[in-house]
Amino acid sequence: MYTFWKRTVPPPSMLTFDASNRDLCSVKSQQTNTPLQALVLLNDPQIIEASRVLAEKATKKETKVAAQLAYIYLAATGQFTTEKVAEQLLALYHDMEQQVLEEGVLPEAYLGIGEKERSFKEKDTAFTALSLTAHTILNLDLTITRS
Amino acid sequence: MSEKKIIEERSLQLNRRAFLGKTALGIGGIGLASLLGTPYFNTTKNGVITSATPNAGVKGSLGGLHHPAKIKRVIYLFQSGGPSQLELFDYKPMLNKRRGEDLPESIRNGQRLTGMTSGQDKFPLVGSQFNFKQYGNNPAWISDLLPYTAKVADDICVINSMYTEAINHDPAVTFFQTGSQQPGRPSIGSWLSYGLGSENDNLPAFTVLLSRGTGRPNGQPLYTRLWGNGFLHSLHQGVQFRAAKDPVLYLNDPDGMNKATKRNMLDHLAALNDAGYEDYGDPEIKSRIAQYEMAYRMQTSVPDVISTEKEPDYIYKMYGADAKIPGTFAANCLLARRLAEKDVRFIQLYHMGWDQHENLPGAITKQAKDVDQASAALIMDLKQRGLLEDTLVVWGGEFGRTNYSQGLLTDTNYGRDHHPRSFSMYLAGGGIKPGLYGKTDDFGYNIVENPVHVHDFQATMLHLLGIDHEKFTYKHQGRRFRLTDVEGKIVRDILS
Repeated sequence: MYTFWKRTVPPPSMLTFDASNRDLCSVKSQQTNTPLQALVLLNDPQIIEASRVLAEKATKKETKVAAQLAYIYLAATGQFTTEKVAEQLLALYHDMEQQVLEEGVLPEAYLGIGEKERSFKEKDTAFTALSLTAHTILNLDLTITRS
Repeated sequence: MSEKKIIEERSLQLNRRAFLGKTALGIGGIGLASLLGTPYFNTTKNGVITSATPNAGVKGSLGGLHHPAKIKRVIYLFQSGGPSQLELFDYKPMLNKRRGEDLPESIRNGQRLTGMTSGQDKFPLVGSQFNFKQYGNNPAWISDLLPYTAKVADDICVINSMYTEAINHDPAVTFFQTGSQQPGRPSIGSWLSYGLGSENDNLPAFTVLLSRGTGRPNGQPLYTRLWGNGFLHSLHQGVQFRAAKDPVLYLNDPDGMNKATKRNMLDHLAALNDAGYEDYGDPEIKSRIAQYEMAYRMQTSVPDVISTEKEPDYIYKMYGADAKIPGTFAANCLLARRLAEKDVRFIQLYHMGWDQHENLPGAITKQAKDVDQASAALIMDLKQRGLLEDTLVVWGGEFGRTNYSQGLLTDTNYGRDHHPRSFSMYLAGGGIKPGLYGKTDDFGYNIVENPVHVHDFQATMLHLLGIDHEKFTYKHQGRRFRLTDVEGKIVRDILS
C-alpha cells in the first residue's frame, strides 16, 4: 500500500496524526489526541479499505467467526484476545450483522470503498459484519497507540 | 492513613502517560476525574469514576466565576513573526529626522540583541516610510498601511507599551500563549477549556486556524504545542482546522453506512476502549473515547459552521476578496465569526509572515494588506451582531521590531530586527475602553508610560472572562501553576 508524500505536502490524514510537515527539521514529533483523528480513522476510505482487506484475510485463514475475530484483533493490536474481549468482539459482530439485516449498512456501497478488488464473493451479511468489526478494531486505542 | 487512602492520594498525583506503568492494584479508575482536570466523568466524592457523560461537552473545573465576566469568548488574531510597531501604530517622527544616525548607547542601555544584528558596526536609526494620522475620539496614531483598521479606531484600544522577556520567536510566542518561554505549559485556550468548559457541546472549546502571510511567505513556522494542553488533560488541546477548502477532513460517514450503525459501532468501540482502560489505566484512553464522541457530533456541527458560501455579498465585501479563498487570513476571520456565533470559547488565529528582517517596506505593505480589512471587518461584523460586547478580539504578535535598520539602510529600503522592549497590540470588545494606551520614548525604543507586560495582558484577559488569574491554578508535580506564573497585574486603565 503506497501513499504519496510530496516534499512539504504530507498526506493530510497523516498530518492529523502529527506527521512532520518537513518545512524544517523536527527534533521530536508532537503528540496529540484530537477528534480530527477519530474522523480520519472512522471515515477515511483508506482505513475502510484496509478493514475490508483484513477481513478477507481473516476469512481465508479461519472458518469460525470467533477465530476470525481473534485473528483480526491479533493482527491489529499484537495481542491475543482475552475471554472478555472475545465476548465483546462477538457481540459487536452480531450487532453489525443485525445492522446489515436492518439495512443500516448497504454491503455493496460499504464494501465497494477503496480500489483493492475483492478477491472473492463472501456471503454479504457475514462478510460485511466482519469488515465492520475489523473497522472498529482498527479504531481501538490499543491499535493506534504504541505502548 | 489507610492503604486505600494512600493509593488514592498517589493516583491523584499521577498524570497522563505517567499512569501507563500499569498497576496490579486495580486503582485504574480512582481519582481520574480530578486527575484529568475535567468533570467529564461522573465521580463519587473521593474521585471514583461511576460513569462517563459522553453526550456533554467539556465542563469547566471552576465551580463558578470569581467575579462577573465581561466577555464569554476570545478571538485571538495572533500576528506571528513580530509586526513592526513603528510602521503600524507607534508613530515616531524623530526617527525620520535622525535617519541614519547611530542608536545612542544611552537609549539602547545594554539591551541584548539577537545574533542577526549583534555583529553590526552601526545601528542606523530609521523611521517609518509610511505616514500616520490620528483617528478616533481618544486619538490613536494609525499608519496608512491600515486604512480599514483606522475606520474602527473608536472600537479598539491600541497599546503601544507592550513588552516581553523573550527575543526570539519560539520562546516569545510560547510566552504569550502559555505564560512561559519554555514549552510544556498549557496554552491560553486550553486553560479556558479547562476552567470554563465549553458553551457548545458539539464543537471543541478551543479551535485554531492558521494562515500564511504574503509579506514573508516562508516565514516562521508554528508548532502544534503552541495550542497544546501541556499538563492539562488532552481533551483541552486546541483543535486545528486546516487552511483549505475542507477545514475538517472526513466529516461524511462511509458510503452505505447510516447514523444508527455508526452509533452502534461507536458504542462498541467505547466499551472496548474502556476495557483497555481498565487494563492499562492510561487516561489518554478516556480522552480518546471522548474525542470519538466529539468527532461524532462534529460531523453535523462543523459542516454548518464552515459552509460560508451562503454568506451574503455584503459580508464578503466587508472582509475583502480574500475571504472567498479558503485558508487566507480573511477567510479565517469569517470562520472565526461563525465559530464565535456558535459560542466556541477560544478561537485562535495565527497569521505568519511578520518577521521582516529585510526589505521591510515592501513586505509589510503586502502583509498589512493581508490582515487590515478582514481584522476590521471582523470587529464591525461582531458589533453589528451584538457579539462584540461579550467577545474580546486581540490583535498582536510576540514582540516588536528595532528602531534601527538591520542590514543596509538605503533611500528606499531597510529591515528591522526583533525588539522585545516595546511593541504594539490592540484589543477590542467587551469591557475594553477604546483609545490609546502607553507611550514609548521619541526613539520608539523604551517605554516611558504605562508598561504592559505579557503577564499583565494575560491577567487582564482572564479578568474580563471572570477569572482571578491568581486563583486559577492547576497542581502539577507538586506546584500550583498559573497562566501568569507568579506575576501579572490587571491593566485597569484600559477597562471600561
